[in-house]
Amino acid sequence: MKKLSPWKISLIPIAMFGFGFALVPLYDIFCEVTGLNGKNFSIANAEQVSQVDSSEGRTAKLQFLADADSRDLWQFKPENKTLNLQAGNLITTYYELTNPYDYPVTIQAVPSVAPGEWAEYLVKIECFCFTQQVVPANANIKLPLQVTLSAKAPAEVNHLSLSYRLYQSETLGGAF
Amino acid sequence: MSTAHDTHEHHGPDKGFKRWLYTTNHKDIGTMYLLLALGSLLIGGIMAFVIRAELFQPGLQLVDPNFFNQMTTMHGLIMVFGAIMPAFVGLANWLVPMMIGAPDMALPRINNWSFWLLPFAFGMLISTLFMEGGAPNFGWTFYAPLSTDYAPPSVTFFIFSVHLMGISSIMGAVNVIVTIFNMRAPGMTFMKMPLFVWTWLITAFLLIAVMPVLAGVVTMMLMDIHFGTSFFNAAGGGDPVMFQHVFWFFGHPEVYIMILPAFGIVSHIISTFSRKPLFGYTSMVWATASIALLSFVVWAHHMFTVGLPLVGELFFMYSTMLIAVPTGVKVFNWVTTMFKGSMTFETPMLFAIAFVVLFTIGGLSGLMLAIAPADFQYHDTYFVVAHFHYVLVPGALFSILAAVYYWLPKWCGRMYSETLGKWHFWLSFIGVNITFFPMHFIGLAGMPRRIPDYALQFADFNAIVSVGAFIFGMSQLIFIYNVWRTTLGGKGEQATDQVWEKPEGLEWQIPSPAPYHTFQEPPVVK
Repeated sequence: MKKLSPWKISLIPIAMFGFGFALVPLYDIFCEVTGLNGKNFSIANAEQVSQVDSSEGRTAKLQFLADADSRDLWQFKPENKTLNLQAGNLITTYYELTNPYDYPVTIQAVPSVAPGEWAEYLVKIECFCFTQQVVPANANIKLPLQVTLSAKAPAEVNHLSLSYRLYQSETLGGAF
Repeated sequence: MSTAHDTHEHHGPDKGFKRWLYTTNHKDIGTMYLLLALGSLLIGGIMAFVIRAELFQPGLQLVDPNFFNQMTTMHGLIMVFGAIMPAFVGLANWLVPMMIGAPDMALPRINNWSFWLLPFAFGMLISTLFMEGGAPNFGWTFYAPLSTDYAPPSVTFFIFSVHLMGISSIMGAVNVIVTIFNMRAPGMTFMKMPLFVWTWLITAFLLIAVMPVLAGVVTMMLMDIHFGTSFFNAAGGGDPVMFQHVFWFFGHPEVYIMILPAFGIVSHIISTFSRKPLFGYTSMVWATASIALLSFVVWAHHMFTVGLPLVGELFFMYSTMLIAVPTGVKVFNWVTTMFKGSMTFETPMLFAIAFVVLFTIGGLSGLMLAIAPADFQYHDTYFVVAHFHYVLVPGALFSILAAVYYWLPKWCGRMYSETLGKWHFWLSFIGVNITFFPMHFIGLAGMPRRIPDYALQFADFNAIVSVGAFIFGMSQLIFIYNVWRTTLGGKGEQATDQVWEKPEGLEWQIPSPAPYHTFQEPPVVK
């Protein structure tokens, strides 16, 4: 009788340990392909946008949302609650942030676009979420943002929401 | 170390503690697993008493909320990983070699190591209760970032303890698989294997497939906490929802790990006490295998409220409901086995019948939870608590108690007290239903789980639940006394080799009590 080797069967748990970690990139790929999580907005530069003909009149309402932290110590709010996006026209706006502490703090803003399936039609030219930001002690700063609507957006795309959650990232993973 | 000389004739176990420390005998190791499970059951039971005492009345009486959270967390972890799983491994150790006609497990030294990792794992886990900041308080599902950013410092000990018990489970499962594949008696083909062996073989495959994923997820937590990675930290590009996906990819097969061996046990017991061969053996095997396969594609039904897309909600809803089909096949087979059988109602049979009835109630509430739109109402309420306690207590735990009553005479050579067994059963049966049935009602009425205080309208049912929990908990002392008087107490009449009336299986062909070494010459199965 042919015997089953315990070494051979041990390959399964070893492979599955690896699979557990492989789930991490797979999760990101899955979200990117399906548009779940609202993370895959597009990024472009100003020249590309200026080549788009803005006369077609395709517009969508963009709503701005801000979440500072669960304890609400930070003052974090958008300049405008809503703006009209138009393909080919750049919108420049900002979020306002006040550091409540008397020491400087590094923050990372994490964006999310809803509905997730339409996230790719939101085009960001400039965003404070691209990099970490240092907020001086007790300072009130303006965080810039430049967005537009993608020319590829189908007609039914008539509204989008853009939200930011702030994370303190002196050491990544540091909670407020 | 024994020399060739003294291993020759009067070979037997070492004396004293060394026997248990060095043993490679499947029966010794099985006994140790079962005793560890019993100890965990008592410790986890005391924690349940603390929870129910606090919830006896609305308001905060006995413990502060943080300690309450530590109790719910530790109760869950200890009962799942310390009581139910080791009890089934203990039964596998005792029974699998005897059922397939093998002299021992295929990897006896690994077997010893698998067991001896556990006291250290649970010692480390329980020691967190006495640490600064307290024990883990984030629930047995340890969702990130509650278990990373906001966890007490003792979380690191929790992680290592999960690593140790994971290694133990994986080695135990590899051992079971290799034993079943390589050491069956001549003539015992796969489709002649007893169902307990079949269900354990499938369980072992589930274990080696998902315990490493659990090890992976706690390793990611460890790295997030101590090495600055951001697997579950949104600020660094990670995602807390991903934690839930990876956790439940382990977690859902895990619930079948805790119930499949139970299916095997009750199949044996119902057949014996109905004095009929099991109805639908082949369909039982296929149903077990399909439940195991389906368990890999249903995990997100634990996360209907995280914001899945509609397609996802529907997929996980339908795939979950599909599991009711093979489970229904099993229940049908058990009922049909009893149909027109000449049934008697000894203690193991009472527990097995209660298993069929009460597990089915748990299965039905599971179907209710599987309906995604309805789950938005039930999610994180006592309805969920009622559901999983119905499948784990009168499900998994009753099957373990039934198994101990059924095979104890074979293990120790004496009959347990049937009177005490009946008392134990009826008090447990009544207690378990008083404890968990009202939880359905308060859950549907909206009482959230894992809270130390609640709104006044839930007060009456909570008081009833606490009384039921006390009855159920205390009646387990009858079981402990009954097992003690039969084994160490030396009471009870001599068991015959067959023990019961014409039970099926190789284990009934060896003398009672089972000798230290059995089937050194393999039996021939026709």
